[in-house]
Amino acid sequence: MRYVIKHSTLGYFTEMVIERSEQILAPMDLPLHAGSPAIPKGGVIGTSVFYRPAFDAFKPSQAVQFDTEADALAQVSNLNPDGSPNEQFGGAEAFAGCTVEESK
Amino acid sequence: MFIGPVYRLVNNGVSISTAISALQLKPGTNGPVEILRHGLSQSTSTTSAQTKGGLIRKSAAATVTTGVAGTTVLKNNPINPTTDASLGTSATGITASAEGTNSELTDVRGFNVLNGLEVLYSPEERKLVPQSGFCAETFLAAPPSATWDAFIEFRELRGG
Repeated sequence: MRYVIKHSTLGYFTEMVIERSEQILAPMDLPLHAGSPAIPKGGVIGTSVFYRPAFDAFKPSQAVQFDTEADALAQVSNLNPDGSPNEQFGGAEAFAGCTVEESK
Repeated sequence: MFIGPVYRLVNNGVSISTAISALQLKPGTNGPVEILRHGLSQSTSTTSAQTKGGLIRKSAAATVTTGVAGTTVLKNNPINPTTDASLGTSATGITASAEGTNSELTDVRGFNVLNGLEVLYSPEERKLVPQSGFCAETFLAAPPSATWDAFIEFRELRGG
């Protein structure tokens, strides 16, 4: 038996989609690589990506399938390994109103 | 030839320095998967060193961080259906914390960390993983500490 996540009004959980991305700017002149010139303050040194869940499935067979109920509940809890809210995935609000049910 | 949707399991770059499974794939119940390509590469070490890794089968699942559709389980085509792979800590996921039981060492190779490992199969040699079986992209020897990118490209041969 596998398990799926159901939103009370939107449908079944299908994937995380990128909601927005933010450039990470160097807070100071940063020598990131040996032998290369430092990246000047304000230069782009990376990108942070933020996701939200999509509930695009109309029936369980079209949704993401979790191996166990605990795996699905962990996704609904949306926590980081240290127990803090996973803000990159939308935090506690992302899966508000969701329940876990058996996949049919 | 059956044409099914293709997906890519990735770890998006994880610091690894021990002989662990970087990825684990558990196909769903609707059909097996065939492995099209797999690989390991790193982006933070410039020191030449040899290590050993590749695709293996497991008879007991490793304990992993649960895979997430859209971030670590990606569609080859955005309009593909959602993957049928089972996601979970003893199923499809990344970065093993306990290794379970390795069985067949399906395709393990030595490689230099500066080059990385990339294996593209011809159609005749694509490895099949049955429904609810396990395969993994695994380091069989502890690699130099680095940010390692691992991937498994697979096609789901499914009816549902």
